Amino acid sequence: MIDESTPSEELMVAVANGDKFAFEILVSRHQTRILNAVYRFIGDRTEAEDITQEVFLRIWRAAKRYRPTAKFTTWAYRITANLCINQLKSANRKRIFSFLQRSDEQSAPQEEAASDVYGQTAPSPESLLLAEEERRRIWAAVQSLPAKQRMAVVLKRYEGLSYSEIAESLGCSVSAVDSLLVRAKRSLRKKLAGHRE
Amino acid sequence: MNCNRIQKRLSAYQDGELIAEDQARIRTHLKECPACRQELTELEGVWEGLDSLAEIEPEPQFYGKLQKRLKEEHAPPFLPRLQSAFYLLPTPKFLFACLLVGLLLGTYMGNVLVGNTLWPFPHHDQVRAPEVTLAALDAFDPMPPGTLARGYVQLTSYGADVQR
Repeated sequence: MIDESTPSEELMVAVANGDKFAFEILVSRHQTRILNAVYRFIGDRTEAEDITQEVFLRIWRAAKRYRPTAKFTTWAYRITANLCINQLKSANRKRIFSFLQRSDEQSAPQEEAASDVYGQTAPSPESLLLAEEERRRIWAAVQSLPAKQRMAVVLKRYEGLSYSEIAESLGCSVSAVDSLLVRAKRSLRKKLAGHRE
Repeated sequence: MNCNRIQKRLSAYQDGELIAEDQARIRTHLKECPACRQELTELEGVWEGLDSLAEIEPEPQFYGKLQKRLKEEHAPPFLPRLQSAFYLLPTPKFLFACLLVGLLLGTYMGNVLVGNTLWPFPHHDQVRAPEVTLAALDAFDPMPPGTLARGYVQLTSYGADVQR
């Protein structure tokens, strides 16, 4: 019997047999995580939604090839990473700037909501401006990383995957993941250090 | 272990990816080495800074859109559908025949409307006399019959006749 508590791996077996209800549970369970991984990698909400839809379409199509020996999330992140990296390769435009423009609209309400929840006095416009500036710089630094380094950062920092899971998702060795993350952290530190002083 | 080797492994140490023995060795080194401690603090600062990147929620109609795309996927592919649409388009001969039928039908309907009869074409006995047809050429006269100008001219010429 399939319900909300059924593990994703079992749901996949049902999806392979064409069970749409199992697929719906799977989507509702993983859509936010996958969407955010793509969003942090791509930096554009609309594009992230499109890619996330494509990830689930591929999951549906490839369900019959899925073997429950592999952890579902690792398998799904592998599809996500492939799509994101391919998208980045084919895209020939500057996304950072468009994203930075959109992030202006998104950040203000979140900051307002946070100050409401904690009942603190509203931060001054100057401190809000500085925080926003810092956030933009961090985004730009992440977006400037090479594709594989960026995906390794997203999977480690936000998705909390282990090195071996990242290696499986990116199709490389664990030591390669270590090396990707060392270089990514170094690069981020270099890009952000000057502004922190 | 020297500082150079330690610093190369600080990333994995920070992520808790080293084996317990290496993890303990680096921890001991960090207690004694301010430079490596500083290095780790900076790494942690960068990592924590990434927290400020906002999380987004999927739009409410996410699954609905996905379902639509799945349905499209089960429909016949686009190209064959496009080809079948082309089959419905008429061939040039058929198109020409349609045009001809349309013209004949249009002419007939126009005559029906003007002539108020279902057989708008004149019978042999109804063909108008040539004089009637010639009278129709008066339409090209500078002052055709029945116009105000013709009436005015007739009136003035009648007045002149009376005076005379």
